[in-house]
Amino acid sequence: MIPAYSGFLALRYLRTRWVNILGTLGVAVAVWALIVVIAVFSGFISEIRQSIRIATPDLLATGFDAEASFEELDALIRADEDVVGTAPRLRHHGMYFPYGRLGQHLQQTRGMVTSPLAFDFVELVGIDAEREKETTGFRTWIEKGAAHGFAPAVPDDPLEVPVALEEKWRREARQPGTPGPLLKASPGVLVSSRRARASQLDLGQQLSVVTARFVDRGEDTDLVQVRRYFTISGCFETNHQILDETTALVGIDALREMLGQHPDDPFAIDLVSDVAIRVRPGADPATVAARVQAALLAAQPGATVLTWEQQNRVFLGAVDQERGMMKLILFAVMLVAAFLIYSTLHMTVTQKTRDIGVLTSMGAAPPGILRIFVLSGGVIGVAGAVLGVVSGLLSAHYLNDINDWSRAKLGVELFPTALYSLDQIPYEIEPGWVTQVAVSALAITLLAAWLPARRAARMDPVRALSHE
Amino acid sequence: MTRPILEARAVTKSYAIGSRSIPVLRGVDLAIGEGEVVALLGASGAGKSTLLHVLGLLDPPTDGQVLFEGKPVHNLPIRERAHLRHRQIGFVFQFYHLIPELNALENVKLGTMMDRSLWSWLKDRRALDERARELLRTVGLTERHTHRPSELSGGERQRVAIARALIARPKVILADEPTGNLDSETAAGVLELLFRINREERVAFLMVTHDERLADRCHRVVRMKDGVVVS
Repeated sequence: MIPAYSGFLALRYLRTRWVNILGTLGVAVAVWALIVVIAVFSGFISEIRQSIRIATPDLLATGFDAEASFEELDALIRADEDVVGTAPRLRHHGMYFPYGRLGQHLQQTRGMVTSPLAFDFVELVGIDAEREKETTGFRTWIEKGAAHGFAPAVPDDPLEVPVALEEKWRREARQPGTPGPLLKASPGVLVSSRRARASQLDLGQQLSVVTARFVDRGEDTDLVQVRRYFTISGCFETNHQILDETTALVGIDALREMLGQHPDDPFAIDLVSDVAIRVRPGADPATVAARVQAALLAAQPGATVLTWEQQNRVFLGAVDQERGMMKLILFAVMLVAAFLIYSTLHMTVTQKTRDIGVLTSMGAAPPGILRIFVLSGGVIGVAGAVLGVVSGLLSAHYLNDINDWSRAKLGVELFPTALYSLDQIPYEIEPGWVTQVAVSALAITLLAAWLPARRAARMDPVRALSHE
Repeated sequence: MTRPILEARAVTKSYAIGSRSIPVLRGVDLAIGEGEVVALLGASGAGKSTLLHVLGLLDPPTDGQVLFEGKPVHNLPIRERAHLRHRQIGFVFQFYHLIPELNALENVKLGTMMDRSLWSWLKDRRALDERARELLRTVGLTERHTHRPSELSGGERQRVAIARALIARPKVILADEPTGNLDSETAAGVLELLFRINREERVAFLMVTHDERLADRCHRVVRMKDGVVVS
């Protein structure tokens, strides 16, 4: 039972001490920050996960040896009843030089390549566009790329380059030093819209792509430079920033040729480094991955099959860890608020020492005295938590309006959406988290109040009565 | 003497200061009868206030017994002692000790909240409120219910403190120099009030005082010196 005087005095002490508002505000600010910041973080993570999900196949078989043939692997993978699509991929690192820029640049820099406009490193990913469409989010990448960069010249085959396209670019961009008319078009390359903007690339522009491959010379192995022209046939965008910034998509046959697997060569194989796999909707990707990996084991002992989350484990882990760190930091704000409550209640107990003696002389028992101050803390905690939750939910809901207003009126953007390629500030309210924050705020407040309350309850009434 | 209400039997009380033990009460025997007014006189440091605290169950005796209506109560569990103090023993202090955040009426009503839950107190609040108002009328404060202690004179504060001590209908009131902080005219008024309450309510009083004239008006005078009752 909570004696009537405990509640009555708790409320009266709170009402007559405005310093307690500081404690309430402290808890409210901590709760507000924990709700708003984590809501934005969660929204942002959701966006990232969604982007990664679009950018990443359901499963990716990888870790093959150097002579992996797609036909052989495809048969093994497709034997699984839950696999509904496969697409071959060949990854290889290289660099590209936008045609016509390098010569000018080298003249200006006396032979040193210093500008990303003149060259850039890239991960070349050879794909089969048709199979990719059926297996991954390839169509979406092209649609997004068209929206933010430029649409492919041939919508049905984004890697197709009509001769006219390349000729047109040459005519329009003709400068001293650019070559004359083409005899035939180069194979197509898809660059991300982000990269196209950064490197000022155009549709139809030629890129000189350079890579290297090892050639077996019997007793020795040579590293041979391979160079080939590609023409930008369109843009893609996955929103997976790392993938967008580092990848260029080319036809898998063109890349195979660069790596020595010419189609006319009778010993050439349909070389792949990875196979993208689409899983039947409703099937558990992890289970299918385990089965497919087991199926591949005999042909490719080093093969691993990764789910989309495993493919991005490091990145997703890092983002999750950042959210965890943010929670920890914001809980420190809560601890500061709790310390504030502890300090104010400690001060109140000291000021009310004589009252404690008087109450004891009137028949108050230590538990009742303890409850006066625990209830005080409880009221501060509940008021702060309610205020924090309500303001937190409202702020999260109207975050974009607040951001727009702040940008228009104050010139300050609270969350630079452009920096993260977002149209709006994403947010995601997790009821479980809100409850957890509110309950934690109350628990921490009660703990902060309990310490001075215990001191009050343990006071010697005779000493308390003579307290000056 | 009438039937004893509150009694000290061979009570000793020592305080430890560092490694030393300082005796303050050295075997005190004292009984307060039903409806009796006892004056407790003695020089400063004689142990009067300590005896009051021991009899009021605020401070346990080092040795000896405290009896209420013949039953030992000094060793009761802390909650039972608190309950007994609330129901049967009232305190009046020299410096009134009112709660500064509460007005006169609330200070008196506080005495009705000690052993009730908030719900039960709210249920009975009209009757309890009326009882507190009646007590304030009894002590001559009809107009100053809403005044805070800081807005009351010394005599008025002591009247509020007396009303507060009476609210739970105690059988005995322990008053530690109740007029010690008042001018003689106000003190006389407060004393009149205490004696009237004694007559009308049959409440026993143990009054610590230095005032011989006040002592002369009491039913019995007990003198203390160096922690023992000398007469």
